Amino acid sequence: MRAVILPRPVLTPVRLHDALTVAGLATVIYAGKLFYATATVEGLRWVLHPTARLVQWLVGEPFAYEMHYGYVSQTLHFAIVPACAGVNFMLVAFALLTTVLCLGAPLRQRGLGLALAALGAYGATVVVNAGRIAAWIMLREADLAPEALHRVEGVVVYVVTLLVLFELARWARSKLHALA
Amino acid sequence: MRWPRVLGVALVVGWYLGVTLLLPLLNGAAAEPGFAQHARVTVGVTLGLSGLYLLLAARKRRAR
Repeated sequence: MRAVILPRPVLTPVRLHDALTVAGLATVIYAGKLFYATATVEGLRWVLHPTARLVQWLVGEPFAYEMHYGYVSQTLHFAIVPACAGVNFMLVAFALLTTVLCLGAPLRQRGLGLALAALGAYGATVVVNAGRIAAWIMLREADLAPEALHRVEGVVVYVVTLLVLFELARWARSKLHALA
Repeated sequence: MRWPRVLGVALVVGWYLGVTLLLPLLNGAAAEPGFAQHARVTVGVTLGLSGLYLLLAARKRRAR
């Protein structure tokens, strides 16, 4: 009897799930950008509040909430406003973690990967953003920070964190795969 | 199987530049003052750090 080699299906369940994951991710990113473009302090309190508390702890000066404006330190003459919320970074971190943890993975591992990506992106945003703001305040207080450095500092901190997140996600993915 | 680092760097650069520069550009941010300088700094620092990361990872691999 001759063996019949069947052609490989173009749309396997994993490929279909990958396509749906990428489409969902693109929608989340676009919706997130639209939300952030018009978001108020009140709408961003879920990320601004923990960030301000962490900055307060790092620099040792109180930040008070001012409605419609942000978290203000009278002594430092500094305000944490919606532009400092780091939502762009959170979207990028979520996209990166979801891509590494979910693409090509079985469905159950994908669900766990998605939860890890959401938690990881939120946690990393609060911690890294608070560190970035605190570092900027300290440099400014020591008269060591020209305005041009502020932009470079932000990109360096965010890109280095994304590379660290990629390494962590790469490690987590191999562990999840070994467990499955 | 672990993700290849080159692919990871491509993801980091792609997602970061896509969200911070490409989407604002598509929404007409190019006309805003300071955007060109912001874009130069962002692209330069992102590519520089990514290249450094790949270089360090390759050296570590060779050393093993």
